[in-house]
Amino acid sequence: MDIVVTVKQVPDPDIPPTHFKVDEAASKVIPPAGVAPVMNGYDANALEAALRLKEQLGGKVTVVSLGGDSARDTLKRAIAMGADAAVHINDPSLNEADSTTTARALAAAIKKLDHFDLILSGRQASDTDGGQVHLGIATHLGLPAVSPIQKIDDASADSLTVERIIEDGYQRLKVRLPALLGVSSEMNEPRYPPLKGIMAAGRAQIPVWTAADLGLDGVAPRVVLRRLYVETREAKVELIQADSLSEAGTKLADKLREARLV
Amino acid sequence: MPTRQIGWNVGEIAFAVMYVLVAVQALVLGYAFTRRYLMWRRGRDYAPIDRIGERVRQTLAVALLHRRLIRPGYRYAGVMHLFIFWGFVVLFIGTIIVLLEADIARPYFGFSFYQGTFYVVYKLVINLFGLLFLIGLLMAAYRRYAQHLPKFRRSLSDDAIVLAILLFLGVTGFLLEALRLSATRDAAAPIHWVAYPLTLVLNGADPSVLAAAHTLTWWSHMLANTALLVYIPVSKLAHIFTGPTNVFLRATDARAALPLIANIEEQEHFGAARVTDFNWKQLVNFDACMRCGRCLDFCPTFNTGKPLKPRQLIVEVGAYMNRQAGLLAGPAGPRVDEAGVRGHELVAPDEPRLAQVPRVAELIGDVVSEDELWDCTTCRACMEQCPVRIEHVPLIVEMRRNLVLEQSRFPQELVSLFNNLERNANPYSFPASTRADWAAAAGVQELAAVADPGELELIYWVGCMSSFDARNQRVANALAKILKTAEVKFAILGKEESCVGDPARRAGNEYLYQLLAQTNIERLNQYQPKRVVASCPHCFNTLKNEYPQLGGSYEVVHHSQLIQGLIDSGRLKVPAATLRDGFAYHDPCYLGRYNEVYDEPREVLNSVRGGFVELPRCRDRGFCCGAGGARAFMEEKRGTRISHNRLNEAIGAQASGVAVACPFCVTMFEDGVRALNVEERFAVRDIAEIVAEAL
Amino acid sequence: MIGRVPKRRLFDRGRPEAILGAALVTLVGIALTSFGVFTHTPPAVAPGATLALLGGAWLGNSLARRMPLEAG
Repeated sequence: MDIVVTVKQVPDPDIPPTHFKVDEAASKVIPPAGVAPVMNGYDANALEAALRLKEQLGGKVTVVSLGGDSARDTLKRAIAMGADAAVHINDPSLNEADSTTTARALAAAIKKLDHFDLILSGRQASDTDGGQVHLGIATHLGLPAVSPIQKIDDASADSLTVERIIEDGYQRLKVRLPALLGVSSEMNEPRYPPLKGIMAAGRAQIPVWTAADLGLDGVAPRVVLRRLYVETREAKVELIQADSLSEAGTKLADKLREARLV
Repeated sequence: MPTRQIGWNVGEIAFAVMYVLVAVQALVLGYAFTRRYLMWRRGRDYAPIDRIGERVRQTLAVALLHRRLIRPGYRYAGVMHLFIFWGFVVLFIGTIIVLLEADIARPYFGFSFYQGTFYVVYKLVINLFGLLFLIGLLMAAYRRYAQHLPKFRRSLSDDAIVLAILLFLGVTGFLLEALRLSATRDAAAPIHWVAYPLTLVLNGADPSVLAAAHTLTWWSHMLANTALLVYIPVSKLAHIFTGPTNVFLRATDARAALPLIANIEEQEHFGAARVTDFNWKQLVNFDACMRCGRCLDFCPTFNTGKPLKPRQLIVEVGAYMNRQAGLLAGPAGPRVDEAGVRGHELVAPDEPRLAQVPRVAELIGDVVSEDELWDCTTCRACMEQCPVRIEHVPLIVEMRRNLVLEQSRFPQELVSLFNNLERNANPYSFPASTRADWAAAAGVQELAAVADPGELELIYWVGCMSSFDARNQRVANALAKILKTAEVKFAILGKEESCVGDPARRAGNEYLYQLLAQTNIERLNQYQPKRVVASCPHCFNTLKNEYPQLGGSYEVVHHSQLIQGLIDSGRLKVPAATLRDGFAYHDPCYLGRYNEVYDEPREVLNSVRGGFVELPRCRDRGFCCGAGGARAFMEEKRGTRISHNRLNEAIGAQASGVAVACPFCVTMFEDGVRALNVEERFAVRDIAEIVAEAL
Repeated sequence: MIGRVPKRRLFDRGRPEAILGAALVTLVGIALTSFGVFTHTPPAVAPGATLALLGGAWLGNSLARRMPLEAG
């Protein structure tokens, strides 16, 4: 089974939020210096799922990423974990694009690959939390998409069964291939790359494609970012003055009703 | 003229048979030890054997003086073995003396020395050592079967057989003497002072009955002796040869450093997945064990009911290795070259009738379980006690290396550890940029901000725990206060400091360790520190003993040594200690056993607190807190808690708290104190905190 | 001695000649000792015993080298 996995490089989500700065004038987030970006967590789950399917059914796993020069490290990490090939889309006009454009670019890249039976993506990226790109890819490629999923069963060359997470449980769906699945973190624990993998990744050749290669010159964004800022919240504490606890309780209830909270 | 007729009542046939049996014994010993030697040689290369003189001295000290056998806590066992060993050796020399007299001196030189004064002294001494031999054996039987020690709960038949044969030999030896003395009415009987009472008992019997009994005893003694010698290679007695060999071969300077994987990027194969992946010195390790169980006595995992029992690991791998050597195969048994081997059953892979037999046993998984490998805290209590210097910890780490570097099969918790070390240069998910935040508040400078680094006396290597963990930041602050009070010019590397790599290395991730180490060594070499002080024994050990492997040699001290030096030289004035407040001192494994720093922390406590409580398991017998070997980053799911075991010992010793010198110990004990609900009456303090409080 | 290449002997490692040679030496040794014992010729015993001992060890060594060890 030939699988394509889309990965995104994001700032390390373990960094405490207070360490991030926002440049309001440029509407940009500035992560703290000296902390390397990492592979998006959900994408790592997707890659792990792909590798396990490959161990089960054979085939090839190709990883695709859209991003600047540093995204190459994420692709290398994917190869170290066991991916067979990687493709890097790197073009200034595309690197900071919105979800729609990103989806178009990735779909175009995937179309250029030989053959695939399944596309696995993380359900969302941990920096933007949009959750749109993978669905957009499926639309562009005319594939059924199921997201977010926590389990894959009964995988064969034509179909597989998935558990899709819903608000109070999950659905079991049989999906005919080719298809696209959005993977959630409940699915698995991504593996740590063996040393041989790390060495192989260091030697790997990763082709770089531009917007021209994908036939995507002059793409306009559908979403415009107006303002990016950190909300300041103040906490005010008002202590209810009363002579007894029951009186305090009554006063508190009145206040809550006044504020239309109950 | 006191003497005896050599070979009284022994027929010619008996003697002829005796010499045939000598050839048989030599054949069996030659065969079996050659097989072992061939098996050892299948291991990888081992560094050249240097300092022969020192090695010989060490071996003789252990073998003859029993230097490692008789030590605190083991006086009974050490003396017991001394009696058995010297008893047997002297009795053996006695046999040689008789041989010299009968087969060399008389026939070739025509003179006899086995008479007169020589004979008297000889007999007095031989009887003494024969008696000591028997006493030693009885002490051993008592120890194994009557004392009910936990490590002897499961004894093998081999243990009983060995004791039985030796006792039989010792008893029949005296019996032979007594029977002869009685039957020949030897006037010199009293000088055979141990056999003499028995002689008196036998004196009434008919001489021909005595002679017949003598013949019977002579034959059974010879056959028992033959049985003993052919039993040696397939029993624990093999340690007679393999033990001293192992002592001779042990690395003389490898007290604390794990072996380096050189040129790691060019290697195809990592760690030990098969027995032949170990180097041949390590293979000798597996053979040297005679199951004394001292490695278990202070082992944290054995004593808390976890799967890892060092003795068992060594014995099982040793047995597996010996089965592969086909110790009992050969001309008499099936061939091993075309068949697979499972345990000691030989399996032909293509024979349909054996299709059900499982595959070849694997070292990791079948012989040694992965749980056992990950249980180890690398505390070295096993290696410290082993009389024949088996090195358990490097063997375990070698197998961990295979699991991590080659198979990528290891506990899930270590994935975050490795990822964090890679991304943040610390085992936690704190960004590296916040490493020096504690220092800003304490007024401690980072090296990068120091105008003239050459002026500094030392660099304080803070370590990950004291940099990021709130509880241990207090220790860093305390040490900073001490250094300032003593007017020591120092700085920290701060953001330029990365984890020394100890947890990665102990967990088997040698590659990650080397990456971290090389980064640190480059930085330290830039700054060329006069001295480095570390408040964490793991940092201390790695910086001091392991970085030289990669080109980083520095003068490194632990903060307890530094503080003691400051107090001694008068640079740090502490108020005279008045009250003893009953703190126990816990020896951190990486400070104590690994680096033999036992005294300085104690001297500090004496200066500042007027004393401390010495725990029963102290110094080289100290009981681990459970955090070493990257175990601090793994969950303790099996058995009981190691830290609780240690805390209960301290509480049992009526201590009001425990003084430690390691941030891992601090963390483990703080957690343990909370879990045991003794926060009110039991405190945990680092030595630096104790000193800083007194200033 | 461990670590050093064993002395080159007259015959080499497990080859049939070595086994035969060792067996021969052992038997000679046994013959000598038996001779010394039964004919009361003490000088024959010591050399005989030495040959029996060394021959026996050598024979054991040669036999041991003959059997290959299990792979891995």
